[in-house]
Amino acid sequence: MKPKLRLILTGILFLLLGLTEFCVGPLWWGCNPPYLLCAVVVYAMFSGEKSAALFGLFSGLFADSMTSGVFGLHGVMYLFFGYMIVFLTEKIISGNVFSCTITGILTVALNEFALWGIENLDHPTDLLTAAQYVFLPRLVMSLPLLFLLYSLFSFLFRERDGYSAGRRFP
Amino acid sequence: MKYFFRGRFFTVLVLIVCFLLGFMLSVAVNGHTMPHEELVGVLVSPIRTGFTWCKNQVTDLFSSIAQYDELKEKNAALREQINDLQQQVNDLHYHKVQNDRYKEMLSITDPSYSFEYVSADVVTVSSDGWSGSFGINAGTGAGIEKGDIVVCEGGLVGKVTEVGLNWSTVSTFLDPQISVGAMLLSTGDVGVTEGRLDLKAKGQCLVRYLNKDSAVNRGDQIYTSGLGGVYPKGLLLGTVSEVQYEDNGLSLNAVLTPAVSFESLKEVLVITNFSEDAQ
Repeated sequence: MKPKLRLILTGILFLLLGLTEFCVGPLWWGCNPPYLLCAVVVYAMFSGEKSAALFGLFSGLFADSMTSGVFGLHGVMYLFFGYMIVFLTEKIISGNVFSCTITGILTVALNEFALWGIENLDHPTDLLTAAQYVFLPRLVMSLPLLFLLYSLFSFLFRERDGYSAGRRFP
Repeated sequence: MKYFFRGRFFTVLVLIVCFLLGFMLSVAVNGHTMPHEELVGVLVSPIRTGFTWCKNQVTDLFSSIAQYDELKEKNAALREQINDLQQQVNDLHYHKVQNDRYKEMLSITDPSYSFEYVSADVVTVSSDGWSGSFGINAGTGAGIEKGDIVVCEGGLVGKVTEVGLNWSTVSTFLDPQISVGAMLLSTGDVGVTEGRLDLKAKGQCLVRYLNKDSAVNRGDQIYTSGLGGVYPKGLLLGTVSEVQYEDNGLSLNAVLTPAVSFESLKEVLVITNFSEDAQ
């Protein structure tokens, strides 16, 4: 697949995922799966530092523009996650669907914990309650989503093109 | 990896992050919508509206095909219900006329409200489970201001918490940040709604500080009390699904199931002005 076509398809996918996350639902227990964050995680496993950081930044800014929270928060957080996953993929994580899923779950958990911390400043909420009614549904919904996105990105970044999870753009 | 930190790209990235942190800090300090947030909202609002319109067309098409038989049965049941309700309306009209006559005889004045509305479509939903809010595609350009009350045909929805030129954010009364003065229709007891994370996940909220001797029962309807002047009196909030004592045993709490189905909300009415007229 040509790099430009891959880039366009990835951009369209991110846009669709983002619009689905913020315009459709909520699916279960009053929340949606974190489509964009999962996409950033999976994309980061197939790409380099610059691409992952940029996609994380733009995905996060898109999420900020679609929500009523503090503008810039998701941008900074997704940028950080995108970059860190590339870093970890080089050092520790191997490039397969299971490690991608575990990384994704941990990233979502970290993201939710950070959001809980920020919500706690205004409205203190018991961590256990938040874990049961917000963290858990989002984590459970992320599992099949990560599998699906990994398959999709495996197709977009095919082995024969010289890419695979864990081996990224030169 | 190490070359990443040396390049111009890394410098630009750090500048962008510092810029965003500055934005976040300015919002945290000011506590209200900043011009940059408003600009983003103005630019993104048409995209949200367009996508939501497409989504609604697709879901309506598929649901009408898939649920044809079910809709046919439901239609017949609803026609029957309309006939029963028409009968009730006729009875109520008779009682209303009598009630008005008695009030006139006893010189009782009853406040009523006149409203000015703006209609708006729901274009974004709350996706993270923390806030019970959604976005609509109307703002200051349509006369909407922060704090305006939002209703729909089912009852009270919430109030406008952020507003831009062509967009607004509405927080429902399930949101932990929103409290509404509530009144039990059957007994007149007053309380206050309170959003909780565990109840919000089930689409419910709590009505607190009801009199401990209150004869509140499951199925009782709860309306806005109008106390405080923020919300007009008489807007339907929902029905009681559970009653429990407060931890200290001094008051009752009622779990409220809203009359409005927030998950399927497509259109709302924003009350831009309401005034109380004494009859």
